[in-house]
Amino acid sequence: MGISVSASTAIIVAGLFFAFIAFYPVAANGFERVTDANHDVGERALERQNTDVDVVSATVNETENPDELVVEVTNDGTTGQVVSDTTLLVDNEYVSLRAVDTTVGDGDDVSEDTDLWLPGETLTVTVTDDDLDAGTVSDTNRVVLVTESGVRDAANVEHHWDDEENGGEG
Amino acid sequence: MASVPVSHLILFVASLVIAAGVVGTVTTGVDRVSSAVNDVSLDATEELRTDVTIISDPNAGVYNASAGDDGNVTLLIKNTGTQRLAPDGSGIDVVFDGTFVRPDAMEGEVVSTDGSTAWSRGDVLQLTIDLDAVDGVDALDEENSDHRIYLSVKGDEELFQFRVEGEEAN
Repeated sequence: MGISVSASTAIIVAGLFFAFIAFYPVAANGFERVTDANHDVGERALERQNTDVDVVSATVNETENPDELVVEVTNDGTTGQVVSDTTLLVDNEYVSLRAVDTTVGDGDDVSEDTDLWLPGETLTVTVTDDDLDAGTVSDTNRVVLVTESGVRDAANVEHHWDDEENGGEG
Repeated sequence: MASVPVSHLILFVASLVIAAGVVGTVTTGVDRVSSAVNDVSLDATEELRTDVTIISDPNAGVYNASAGDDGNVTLLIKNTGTQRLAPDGSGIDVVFDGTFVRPDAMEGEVVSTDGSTAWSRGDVLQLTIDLDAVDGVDALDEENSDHRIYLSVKGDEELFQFRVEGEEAN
């Protein structure tokens, strides 16, 4: 009797051991994968918290440049942005920032070539009639600027007329 | 007295067979659980990494009354997570004013890059919902009305509300 019990116990123990060996790496990998993704969620939330943009102005000078919409946006956050990952919407139409003229500067230094938009700097986007599929910039009402992380700011487009009799804006 | 060793032998073999059967069942069960745990961790990771944001401006006209009989609604959706999604919007479930929108009633296109094979982080998808193909929804511009679009991508839920101004002159 004694040898049957110990033999069958040995078989069961060995079987459980192999089952555990098969299960452990799968469970550990899965757990690590989910932990990584959770970490990623935290990183994205931190980036969003540290991102802040402000559309300072969106103007069309109807007298001098009626076909140019100039949008000025300041990076008020503490994370640097990539210009080509930023999205500009003009009246719910996507405008590719790769295709239009963009400059980044902090007042003194203005660069047209850079793709980096660092904290404190102002991004100036010039949208012309040719960049819009439908309509002209004179008809535009709203602009929205969205950063890579989804933080966004919107502004109404101001249309200026230089009218000397009224002493300025029309 | 020869019957005692014979019965011992029978019991011994029987105990081995039963032990092997138990081990086989346990191993199969553990294998099944392993592969389920693997799938769950992959799904959980995808859900955690998926994050989209509707960046359309509700104030800038998302509804185009002149397309087709009932018009269409165009939404711009930005991928703000790190999960790569389908570039034709096929993974998006849309509910318009409480009515489920069938996949053939909407069309998705990544507008931020030409000929893109994936909708990656920072890219913008233009989703056009053709209201002609949505049962139970008519043209929206007959009177001032509020509308809700609810969409779900791999567990990430977004709500977009907008108002359509009626044609008061008529």
